[in-house]
Amino acid sequence: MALLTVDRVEYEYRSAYQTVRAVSGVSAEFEMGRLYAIVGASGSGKTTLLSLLAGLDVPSGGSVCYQGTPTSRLDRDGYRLEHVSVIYQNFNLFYHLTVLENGAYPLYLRKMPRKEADALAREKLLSVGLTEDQLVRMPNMLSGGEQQRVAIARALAAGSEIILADEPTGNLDTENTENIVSILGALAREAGRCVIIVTHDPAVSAAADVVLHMRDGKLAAEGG
Amino acid sequence: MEQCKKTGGALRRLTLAVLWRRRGASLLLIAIAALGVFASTALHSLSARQEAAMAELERNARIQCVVTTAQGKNSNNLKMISVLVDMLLGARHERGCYLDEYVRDVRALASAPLDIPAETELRRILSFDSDASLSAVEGASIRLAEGWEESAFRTDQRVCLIPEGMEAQPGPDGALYVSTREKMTGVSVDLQVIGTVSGGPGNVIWCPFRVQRQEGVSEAFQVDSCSFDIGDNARLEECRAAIYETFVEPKLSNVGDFMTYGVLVQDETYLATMEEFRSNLSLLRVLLPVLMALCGGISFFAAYLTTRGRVREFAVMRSLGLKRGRMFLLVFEEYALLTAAGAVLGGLAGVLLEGGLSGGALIRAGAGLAVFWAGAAAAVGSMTQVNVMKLMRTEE
Repeated sequence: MALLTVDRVEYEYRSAYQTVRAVSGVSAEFEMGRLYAIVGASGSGKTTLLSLLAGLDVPSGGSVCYQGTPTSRLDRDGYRLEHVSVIYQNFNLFYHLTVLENGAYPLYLRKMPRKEADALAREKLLSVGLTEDQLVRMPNMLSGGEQQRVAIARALAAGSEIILADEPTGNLDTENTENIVSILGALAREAGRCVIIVTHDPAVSAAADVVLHMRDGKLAAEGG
Repeated sequence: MEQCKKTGGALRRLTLAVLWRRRGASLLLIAIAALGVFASTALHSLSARQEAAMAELERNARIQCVVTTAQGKNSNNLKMISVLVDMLLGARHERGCYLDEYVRDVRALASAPLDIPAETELRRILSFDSDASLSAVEGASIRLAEGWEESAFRTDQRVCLIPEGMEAQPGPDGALYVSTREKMTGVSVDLQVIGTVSGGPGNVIWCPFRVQRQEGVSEAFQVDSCSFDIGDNARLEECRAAIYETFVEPKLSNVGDFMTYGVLVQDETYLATMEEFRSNLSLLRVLLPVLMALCGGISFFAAYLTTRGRVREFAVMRSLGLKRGRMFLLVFEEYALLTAAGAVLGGLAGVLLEGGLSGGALIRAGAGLAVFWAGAAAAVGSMTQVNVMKLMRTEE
């Protein structure tokens, strides 16, 4: 069975002035151990689809299922805490916490004792190429690439089987892009996680096992 | 359970660390809470002091009443009979005709010329201040013999004060006496000298107002001046009515010669001061809730402004799986800690102002803190209602 199943998903953003259909009739399946890329122009609905996969909201039509259970019937906070990690283009780190505290934060939320949480976070932060003395710094003292590594290490430390990345290389140079893609690829293929990346970058989509093209809220084609 | 405690400890330590790293904003919030609680304590304290001062004034202020002639003139030739003074002193309770419930410190003076000693005058007094010529302000100095007090003048003992240098004769008991005889009535009485007056008039003898000149005979005599104070300032109107009824509109039941008098109640300063106190207190009572509302508003805006820049942080917390309620508690805990620290500081300053710790100060600090928490809770509650989907879409 696929880890995540998207079945004829619809989603609309409503405001007092207009209703925008962001996702329309999208169906797809996502499995463990594979790297997926969702590509498309700005406004094509790829980030909205990623948000629905993350359980930040439920679709207005169709369903997103985690191991066969619709996210609408799940405790979605618990689902995100236990099974999903999201990596953002703008890193979205806590800028008043140290690098180590950022890495360990999901573990604190999971009620892991502080010493254990810090040890695990340290291991993951070092594994993505950060140095010991960077761990006690504040995130804004690091470069963009290093901050994105902190975000990835936070996802790694959380141990989630689903890693969703929204334009993770959008603010990075070529060298850092290659590093991040390499880490995410290894997460999928070696650590057996289900990694789904929303990207504009052909270099990133080229590294994916499956590429989903979105246009005007619909899935245009599937490659890989 | 232990696991949860440790985890709570980890997040709490993180909260404390974040508060320290954001110490500028933290100090601002502490200062705002401290100022709010101090201002509320100070206002309460001011209000309490006003109330205490008002009670003190009501208890101790002397509102003087002067009995005047019917024409309203304060004359030393009042021609009031001593029966009316008896009513003031409560000596006529058995006849249902008394005023001592409404008055205190009655001062009255009655004079009669004497031919013994020659060319002297006898003045009946209730207290030294019944006669202005005995006042230290007028230069008089009274020296009482050992064992005697001014209260002797409220009794009917045959005692007196004589001018220094006046001749007195020793009696069989060793005490000094002066013999007197009223010029008009020819009644004689020997008075024991219990003190002397220097600096006063040289031809006056002062004796108790109710001295019996003849054994077993009570007398009604003419009173030259009479004044007293209101007995209980809290019952000023009631006292005034009773005094007016007796002196200005006497009933048949009031024993006397049915002459009417005027009463001048010197209460203008007292009433004006009390009115000022009442006005100040009303203002303070309005200001207190206004200050509380202001504290709540300031707390709301301070928390609102400092949380507004953290919306992305809250969205990330939510995307990491933190439940909305727990996130509210985490963020609110920061503000609760800061405002509690501020309340403690403000409360301590209030304690210093009041000069000691009181239950009232604790209640006021607690009330101030509750108002700050309510304001902060409203702001944190509104700012943590973050729409994570919207945040993600902004990224797109």
